[in-house]
Amino acid sequence: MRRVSSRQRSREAEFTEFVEAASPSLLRAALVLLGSREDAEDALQLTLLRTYRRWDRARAAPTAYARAVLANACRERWRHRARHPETTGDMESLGNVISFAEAVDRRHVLVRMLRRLPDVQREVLVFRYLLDATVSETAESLGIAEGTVKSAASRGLEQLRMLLSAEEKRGRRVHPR
Amino acid sequence: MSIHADDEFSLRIALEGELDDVVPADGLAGVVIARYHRTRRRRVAGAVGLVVVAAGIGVPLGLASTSGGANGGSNGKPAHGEAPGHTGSVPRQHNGAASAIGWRASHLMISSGSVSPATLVSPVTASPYPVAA
Repeated sequence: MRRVSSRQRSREAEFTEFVEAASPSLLRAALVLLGSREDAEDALQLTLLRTYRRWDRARAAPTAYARAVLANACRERWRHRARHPETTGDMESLGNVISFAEAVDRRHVLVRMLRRLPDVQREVLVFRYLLDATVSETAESLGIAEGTVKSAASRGLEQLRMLLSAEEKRGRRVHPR
Repeated sequence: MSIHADDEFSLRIALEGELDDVVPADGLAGVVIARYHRTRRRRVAGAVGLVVVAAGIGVPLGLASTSGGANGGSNGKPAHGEAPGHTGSVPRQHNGAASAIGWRASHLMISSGSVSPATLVSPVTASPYPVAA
């Protein structure tokens, strides 16, 4: 049995508290960025593992640290998909193979619209409006300039509005429930 | 309900509403902590194994180099006052024709019958190298 010191116990308690508070929004952000529930859960677990490994450094601002780690984990996943397109499938590439999971995913219209945006715009919108990060926090987490964050957010919102208008014109309701 | 994407508040509310059923598994922190300890144990075991392997290779090599191989010296150098592999002869000097060639030549000449083998130098009986007194 593992012997646990009091310092380690308090470290684990702090981390558990952080995970319970932050993991739902991090998982949703990963889902929007990656488009697949499995990939999102993998990215979240990797993010939390890396955060816990550096907890002494991250404990001052764990949410900001985890946001930056999540952005890197999602980018690593994108690069992996680009290198191995035959082994990775997402909602768009599966085409006419309709599984139960996809049928559930079809409910996420807004998520699908966000997935059609360029990577930088999607990242910025997710950080700004799903993770509640400020412009400077978003810029720091993504490693881009604040001006880029503002312009990407503006263009992303504009493009999202156009995509949603087109979707509504096609007769689909955004929220069918 | 329609979404006005140019309205930040609407986008946030719409995203949260759409993804409200996306929640992580229970006990995620415990899973992450257990995975951390598992990978840490593997890393430590790997580092220890690397040290053991390095020592296993390095110690015999170090012993071999310090023992000086067959010479039996203490630090790889010959012991003081000991002539390294001294055979009692001076170093080789180049003296033109080698004895082996002489032998071969003698055999050839014997078969041809033109030269007596006694006139040729034998490497066994008479070394072409001068020997120190």
